[in-house]
Amino acid sequence: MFKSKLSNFSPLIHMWRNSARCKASLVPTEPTWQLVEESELPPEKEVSDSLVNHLERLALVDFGNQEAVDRLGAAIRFADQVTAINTEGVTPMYTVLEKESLYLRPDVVEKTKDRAVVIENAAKTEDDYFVAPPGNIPLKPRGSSYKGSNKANTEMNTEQQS
Amino acid sequence: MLVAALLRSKELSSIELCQLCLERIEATKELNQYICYYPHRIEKLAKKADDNFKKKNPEELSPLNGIPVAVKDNFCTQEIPTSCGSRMLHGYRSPYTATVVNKLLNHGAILMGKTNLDEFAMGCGTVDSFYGPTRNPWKYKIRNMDSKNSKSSRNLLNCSDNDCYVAKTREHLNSDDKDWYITGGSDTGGSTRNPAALCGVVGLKPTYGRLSRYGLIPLVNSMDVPGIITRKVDDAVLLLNILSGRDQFDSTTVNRLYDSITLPKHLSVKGLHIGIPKEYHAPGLSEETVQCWQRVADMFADGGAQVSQVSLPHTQLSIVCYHILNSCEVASNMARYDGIEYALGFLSSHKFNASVFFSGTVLMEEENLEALRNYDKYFIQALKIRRLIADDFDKVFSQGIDMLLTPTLLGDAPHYDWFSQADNRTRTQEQDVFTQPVNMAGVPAITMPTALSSNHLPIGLQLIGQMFKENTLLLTAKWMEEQLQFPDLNMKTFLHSSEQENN
Repeated sequence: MFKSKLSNFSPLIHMWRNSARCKASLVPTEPTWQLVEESELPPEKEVSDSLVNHLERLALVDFGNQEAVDRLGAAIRFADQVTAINTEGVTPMYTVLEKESLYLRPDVVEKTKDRAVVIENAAKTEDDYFVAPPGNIPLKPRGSSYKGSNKANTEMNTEQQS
Repeated sequence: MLVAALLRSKELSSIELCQLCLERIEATKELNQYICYYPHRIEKLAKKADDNFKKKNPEELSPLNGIPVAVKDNFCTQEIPTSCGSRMLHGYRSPYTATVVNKLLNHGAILMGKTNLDEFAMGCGTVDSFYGPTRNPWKYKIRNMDSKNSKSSRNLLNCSDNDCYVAKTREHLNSDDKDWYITGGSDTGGSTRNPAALCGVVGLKPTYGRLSRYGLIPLVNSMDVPGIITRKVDDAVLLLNILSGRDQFDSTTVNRLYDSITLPKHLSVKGLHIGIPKEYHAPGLSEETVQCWQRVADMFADGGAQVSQVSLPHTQLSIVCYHILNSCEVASNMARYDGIEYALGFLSSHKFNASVFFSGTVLMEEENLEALRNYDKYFIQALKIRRLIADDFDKVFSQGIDMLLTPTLLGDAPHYDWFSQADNRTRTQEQDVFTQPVNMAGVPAITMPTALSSNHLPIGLQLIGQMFKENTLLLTAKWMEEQLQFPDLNMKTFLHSSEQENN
């Protein structure tokens, strides 16, 4: 009789067991991130005209317009969040494989690719040399700032002799 | 792989299979999934695969023999141009083929073509390609229907990869209910898992150093990993077994031997300990994704797994560090495109997304502009925080957690009009929140299609595992697959509804 009474309860026990295993509450119902206040960050630095000129000269790619300069400013501002973090005693992690040993092959000369194959994709070669555009051509300094400009400008500032 | 069985039993030839794939590529061209494909070349390779079936013992042949595959166009291929989605490399013919692609070809796979991507894989939506954006087939209606192509007796699937919020069209092979496809992608901050989740397929990012990056045009050398996109977990297992291994041409591949992974027939998650990291409920996470996350957490508990909430305290910083390290390595990697040794270079670039390049240059600036150099202030600081992020994963795994269950993305595929209101860097900052910590730590992760949203678009969930323990990860993923029974996109229906709308 005792057993049959238990068997009447078993669907209820089954339901209770299921709800006890229910782990939905383990998933947070609200975002858990802490908003970073402006006051916690260093003062925002404007992207100066001299920095713009410097970068354009390094890259030989122009920004094109103020919108692109603003995007750079936003990117730097986003990065500023790391400056507020205390990393005393932490060493930089250059590779996730720092616990692995680098495999070294035997120090034996091996055949490399044919020179012809290596240079076949070059636009211009001379006597098996790659030909670089003429050097020491100064980038024409930008006469004006991008401020106030909106149109994309894809003209290059570099002078090149053919 | 059921298509492989059809090929072996000769119910289907590789030529027929590839022909059906090509018809489907043509029919779905508007999705813009391929940058290039060459039918004559495909026919030649398919004939060779069929000859293999005739002359050799089936047991001697790889399951990949005669199977169509596609690879992202940032993998170098000798016989097909590699553009990296950029005018800078338009028409570039690499003098060598990437190791992972060579492995696929040596196993008899038929390379259908190279698939679309954001320029140099910088982005998360395939909106910045020189060849135009890719469209998500789950919601797209093809405008220019060629009725001849839509009447194939079989659907063919060949998923093309790439950063895309709409990514990939899939040619789908369907004989009765069987279907199959396979694609090679790359994953730096989520570029395999992101599109896989948005297109409702399986996306695996293996452990950093497990697969060779030789021939994968680098974006972030310390995070890039060749990724695997498949329809089913079994196919991902097959591919991982084929592609894993040290490569003498890639010194970042780890010198270890990998046991071939075989998943048991009867799967169980009893005894597994799943962690739910609380920091992965980030701002902007959709309510539907939270519900999926809760439902699957419950599913694991009901399946006998132990489920606990855990903490990865530096998660919020991970996207900032990713942004810094990404920009810095990109600035370094882009320097090679000077147009001197090969290709056209920056000078011919079409609308190049230079903001990532510029920000990297600034953040690594070594000139003493202030008391603290930018290099120390940003780059070295980011590397220190990277250690903290990797340590977070280590601590949680050393406490007995086998893997973590998290959302893959904030929600389902956003609309192009909304997406294109901000630049790709901003969108990456938003969209890659859950995927890039995995790349920072180098651990493996897989995204599984979980459910359809109220917009009838796929939502994916991510499993993050321990380094080199892809066997446990894939076993759990397959168990999820069996439980969830996610509905595949039926290409027949997709083309039929496009045809109806056109008529």
